[in-house]
Amino acid sequence: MIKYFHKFANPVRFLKLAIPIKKISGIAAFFTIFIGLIFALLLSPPDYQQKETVRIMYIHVPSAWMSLMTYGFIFLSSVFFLIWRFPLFLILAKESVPIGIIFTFSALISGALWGKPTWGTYWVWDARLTSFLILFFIFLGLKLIKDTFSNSSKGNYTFAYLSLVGGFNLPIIKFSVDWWNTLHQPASIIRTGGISVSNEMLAPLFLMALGLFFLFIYILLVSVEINIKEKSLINFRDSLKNN
Amino acid sequence: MTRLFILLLSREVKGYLFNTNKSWFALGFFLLCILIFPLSLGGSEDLLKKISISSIWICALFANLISLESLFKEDYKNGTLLQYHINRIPFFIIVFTKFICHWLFTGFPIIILSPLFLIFLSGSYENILGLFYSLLIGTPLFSLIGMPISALTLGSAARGPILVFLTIPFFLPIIIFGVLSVNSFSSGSFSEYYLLCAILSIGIIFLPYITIKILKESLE
Repeated sequence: MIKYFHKFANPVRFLKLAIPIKKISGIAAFFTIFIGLIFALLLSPPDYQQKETVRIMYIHVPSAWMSLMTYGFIFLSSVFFLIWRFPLFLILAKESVPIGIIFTFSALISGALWGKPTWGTYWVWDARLTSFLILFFIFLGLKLIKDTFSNSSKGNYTFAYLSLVGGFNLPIIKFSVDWWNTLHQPASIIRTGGISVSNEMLAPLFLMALGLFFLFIYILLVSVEINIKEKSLINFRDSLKNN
Repeated sequence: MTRLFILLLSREVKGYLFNTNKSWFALGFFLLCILIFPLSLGGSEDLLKKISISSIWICALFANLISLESLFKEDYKNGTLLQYHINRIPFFIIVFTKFICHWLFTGFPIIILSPLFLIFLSGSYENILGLFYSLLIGTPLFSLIGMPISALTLGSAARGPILVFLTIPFFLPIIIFGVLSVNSFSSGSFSEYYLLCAILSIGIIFLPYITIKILKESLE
């Protein structure tokens, strides 16, 4: 495993692999989101209770999943960075913070808009919603650290450790609907006893989740590429100065 | 080892006692904060009675937050931490003495004074014991959670704002369960106390460990 990491810790070698993946995932993201939206907005049936408002689910649920996945990714990258000290993991973690902010924000906003017709209120202070809002603020804190410390080695460790400390929130978000009686409904896809959503709704949901996943990879690789090239440019300029 | 611990602890306590700014700052801030609540409610005693517990918790949070800034700052600036590191003094002793002193001078006075302020704010005696227990578990947690973040922001130019911004999200779960525990104490339910105790027992192991890692990183 470590050998494998070593092979791709070299930024140039990583970019060689990353650029084709970036292109493929960009195209894949476009098509899966496009087809997913057609299924979600036109072909899937309206819910017998919630009528047409159920279509907000196809944005809300995938972006909530993706924001959790983004934080998990940042957490794991930070752990790998702290253990093996490969700067590439740190770049990956840092560049996924703005994407995480966008996903979290869209999940919060779409959730609020969905809450009004179904619960009768935009916002309640229940466990799931509050812990998700805390996740949003932790993301903002990571962004603050990333911007204020810029690229000093001190800032790198600060970032990695903060994302480590913030990881406590993930299990709380996941299990908040089981531990407390919340207004937010419990998990209906990943749960013991099988899926409780009909196949016609499940297909667009998974398509949208897959699309957002590809989108995440695409945006992440684009910003990582920019970051690496910027760094090599700075190194090049410094080497010119020294000569 | 025990001698070293006692030596460092007495040094920390002396540091707090002789530097009156440091020791009275948190408590003074707490008193001022408490003063705001009755004044800002416009003399509505009914409302004040309802929010008395929450206001004491909020003031405890802010007093803790405001004193986090000076937790490692002085020792980091004048090189004491580096001297400790060079002389191979185990970091867990340093971190635990810092934690104990920080709690002793910010959390402990608030716990002792909280029943007094509950009577002063709400005019009743009913929730005194519940508030006392919840603060007893909650304030060490505040100090513990604040420690790694205070260590993280060492050496940053805009330390104060960053510290406040980063720390409050991590304090939120504690204040949620703290206030809930006092409310359910009167009905004989202790589930939130058990949860806070669980968080404390996990935190007292892992958070000093993370702090040690961060401090070593910042000294190298």
